[in-house]
Amino acid sequence: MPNNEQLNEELIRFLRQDELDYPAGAAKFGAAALPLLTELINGNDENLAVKAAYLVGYINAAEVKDIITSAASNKFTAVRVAAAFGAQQLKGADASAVLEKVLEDNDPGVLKVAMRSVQSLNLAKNFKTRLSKIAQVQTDDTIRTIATSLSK
Amino acid sequence: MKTIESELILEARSPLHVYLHPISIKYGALGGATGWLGPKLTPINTCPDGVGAYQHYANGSIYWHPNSGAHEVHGLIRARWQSLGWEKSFLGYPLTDESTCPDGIGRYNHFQGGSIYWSPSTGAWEVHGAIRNKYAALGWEKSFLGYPLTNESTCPDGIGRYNHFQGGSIYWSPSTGAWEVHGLIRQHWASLGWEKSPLGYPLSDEQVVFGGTGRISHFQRGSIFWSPTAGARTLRERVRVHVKCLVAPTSFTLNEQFAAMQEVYAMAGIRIDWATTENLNLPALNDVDVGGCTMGSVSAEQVTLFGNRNFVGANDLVVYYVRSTVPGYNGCAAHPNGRPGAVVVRTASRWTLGHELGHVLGLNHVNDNNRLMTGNGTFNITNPPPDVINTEINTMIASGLSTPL
Repeated sequence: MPNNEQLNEELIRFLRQDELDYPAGAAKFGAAALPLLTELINGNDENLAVKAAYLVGYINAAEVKDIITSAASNKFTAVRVAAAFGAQQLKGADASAVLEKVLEDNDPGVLKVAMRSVQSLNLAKNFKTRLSKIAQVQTDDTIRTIATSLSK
Repeated sequence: MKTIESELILEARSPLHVYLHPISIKYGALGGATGWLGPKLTPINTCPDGVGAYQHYANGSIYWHPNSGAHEVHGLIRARWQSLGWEKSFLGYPLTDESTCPDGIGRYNHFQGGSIYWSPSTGAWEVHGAIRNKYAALGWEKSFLGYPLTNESTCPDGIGRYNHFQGGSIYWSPSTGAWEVHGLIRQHWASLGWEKSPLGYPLSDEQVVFGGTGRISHFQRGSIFWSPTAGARTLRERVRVHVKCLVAPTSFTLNEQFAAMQEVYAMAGIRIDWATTENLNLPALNDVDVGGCTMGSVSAEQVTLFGNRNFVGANDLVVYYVRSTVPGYNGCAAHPNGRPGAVVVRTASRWTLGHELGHVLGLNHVNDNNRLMTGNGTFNITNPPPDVINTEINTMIASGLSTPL
C-alpha cells in the first residue's frame, strides 16, 4: 500500500496533466487527498491551485464545502472561477454559501461561471437582487446579458 | 603604354607653378627610394584606360586615378590583384593603401570594385559585389566569418556565386540575394549537396529561433534547424500558427513555448511559422468553457472564441491564450470544424503548445513520458525535448495542415 508521500507525488503528477479526467481522479484519490489539495489551493503555484480546486469539487466528502467556500476568496482569479464551477457539485445551502461569495466578485470570468452555476442549480430566484445589480453595473455585454436573463 | 617622361607637371595656364605627379607625392610620403617600396623599377606609366597611371617599385606599386587618388599595393594582395588583371579587372583602382585590420594581423586593400583581404593563415582573396556588401554588413573579418578562404567563385549551375570564409560561406544568386551560412547548419547543408541539394540557395542569414538556443537558416525549398539537443534537421514542411492572446502566459513566455515546439517539430521536419500575434479583449472568455474537451465536440464559448480569425488562412492554426479553461486543463485542442486550433492556459507547461497542436494535427495520447503526446502531462516529461515517432510524423504531415516548403 502506498504511503502518504507516494500518494502525494501521484496526486501532483495527476494534477500536472494537460487534460485531466477529474471524475476519475476524484474516484482514485478521494477524501484522503483533501488536505494536500487544500494546501495546493492556498499555495503559490496557480496551475496546481486551479486544478486542485476543480478536483475538490468532484470529491464527495463533508469537508468539500468549506474548501470550496474558502477557494471562492482565493488570490488567484482562476481558482475563484473553479470555486464558482464547484458550487454545482454542492447541495442547497452549501452551494448558496459559495455562490453568495462569487457573485460579489468583480471579475467577469468568475461572475460568468457563478451565474452558470446559479442557472444549473436553478437558484436564480435566490439571487435576484444581486443578479439585477450585476446586470446594471457590469460593463461586459456577455455578463450583462446572462445576468439580465437570470434576473427576469 | 604611354610613359609620362617627367614626374614634374608644368601647368600651362600658370607657368610659374610646377606640380609633382600624385604618384611621386605618394612615393615620397612612403619614404621614396629609401622607403619600404624600394627603388623605382619603371617610370610613371599611363594605364591602358588612358586615364590612370602607375609606377612599379622593387617592393610594390603605386596606382593613381583621378577618382580614387594614389594608393600603394604590395605583397600578396598585389599578387592577387595582378592575377585578376590589375586595374582592368572588376576590382578597378585601389581606394586605400594596404591597411592593417583591427586584429593587428590581417591586411586589406579596398578597390573601386571590391576588396582583397589577406592574413598569414588564409592568404589573399578578393570579395566583391553583393557578397562583399553582406560581408561588410556582418562586420568584415571581425565577424564570425573571419577572413576569406576563396575568391568569389561560380557555382556549378553557372549562375550562383559564393565565397568561403574561415567561419562560413556567403552564397548569392540573382533571385535570392546574398546570405551567410555557417556552423553546423552549413555543415548539414554541405552534406546535402550545397545549393545543388533539394534545398537550393539560402534565403536568410542564420537566425535565432524564438529567442532560444535553436538556430535556423531558410533556403529556397526548406530550412535547416539546429539546436544543441536536436542537432541539425532539414525542414521541408511548415505549419503556420497565429497567436490570439486574451491573457498573457505567465509560466513560460510565448517565445519559450514556440522555441520548445519548434525543437520537437523539427524532428518531424516541420517548421513552425509564428505568423501573427493579436491581443483580444474578451474578458468573458478569459476562462473559457471547454466542456469535456473532446475532439469533435465544442461548447458555445469555444465556437465564439474560435470565431476570432483575423489574418488566419484556411490551413493555418490558431492558439488562443486564456487565463483558464473550465474545467481546468493546461490546454484543449477541441475546435470547431474548419477552424483548427487550440486553447492554452497562461500557466501551461513549456510543451503544452506543441502537445495541443499535435492533437490538432491528428495525434493521440500515448503512455510514454518521453514523448510529446504523453497523456500523463507534459509537465511530467522526462529527458526533454520529448520525442515524436515516425508514425506520428506521418500523421502530422498527412493532416492537411502541414504544407510542403
